[in-house]
Amino acid sequence: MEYEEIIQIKRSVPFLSDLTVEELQDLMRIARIRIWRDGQAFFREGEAADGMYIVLKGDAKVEKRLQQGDQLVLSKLKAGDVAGEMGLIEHEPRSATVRATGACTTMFLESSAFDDLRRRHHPGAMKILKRLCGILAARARRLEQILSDFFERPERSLDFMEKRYLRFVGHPGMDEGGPA
Amino acid sequence: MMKDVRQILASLEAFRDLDERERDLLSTVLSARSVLQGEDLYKQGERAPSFFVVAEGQFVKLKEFRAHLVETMGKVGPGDLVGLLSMFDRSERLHTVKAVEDALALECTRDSFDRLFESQSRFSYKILDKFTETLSRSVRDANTLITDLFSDPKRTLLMLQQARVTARHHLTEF
Repeated sequence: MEYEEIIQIKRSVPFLSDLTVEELQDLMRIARIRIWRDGQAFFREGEAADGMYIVLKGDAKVEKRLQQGDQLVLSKLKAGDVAGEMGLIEHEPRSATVRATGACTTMFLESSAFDDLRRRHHPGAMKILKRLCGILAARARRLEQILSDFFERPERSLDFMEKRYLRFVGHPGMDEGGPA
Repeated sequence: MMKDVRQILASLEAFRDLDERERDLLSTVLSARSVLQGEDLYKQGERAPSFFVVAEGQFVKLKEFRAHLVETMGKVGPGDLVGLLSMFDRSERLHTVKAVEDALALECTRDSFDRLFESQSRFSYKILDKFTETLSRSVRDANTLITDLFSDPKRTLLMLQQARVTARHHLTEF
């Protein structure tokens, strides 16, 4: 990758802005650039995690499959955002699907290659881990907020859930069996 | 009499992978705090950029909603980390952490952590690994809770009806 492109990534991706140009060059040697079409999934919920994606150009959305088959959009991603970051540090199944909305370019960091940098105590890997902690903290706080909102306004949530329940059961009797 | 922080760290399974020198370093930024049964280590809504290592005893994490409903969000015990979110983003505490028995916790402020972090790279890696593990678990737990809420509408409806009744009666027991 050209020097100018490295500089451009450093400027446009906050996640990598703490890295020096040399550290970023090392990182780019193990990264893979991929171009996606509208609707293509970077990864799907339930798949084994093998790394993380950084959106370089375009947009994407994070979806969660619900039991009844429909999708809940958890968040939208834009250039500079990261997706599947937990896949960099653990190999649990993906907790959501991330899908391109329009043409999208990503950088993929494979966990095994990143582990190699960690083992060598590469300063860039440490900066990434520190940044990752900040992202995980923000995400945990946002999810807690969703939970709080849900229970802090029980009337509104009741209304929402009753409509949702009726969509799948088809009658208002709350004591006549569970969801389909 | 308060125990030596180095001895406490040496006794915790979660810090066994640190060598003696690293435990000495960590002990310089931790301060011990005794918490009696029923007392709060910290309260929801407080702003304090620090985290705690539970050294002895058990704590319960409580979440108070505006509707005067208090939910138990889990227990933490020796070796567990609490308060990491506020340490990272310097914003308010998400939970109240209350001692269910006489307990001891070790506190580290953000500024102390930053100083320590910048000086010791190998050691910092080990601590960061513990942080990422704890934070990942928090995100996964919250994700699971949200999925459960939306995946079983009938059960969730019952919980909400209960929350509405509780809010009307302004109950604060947990």
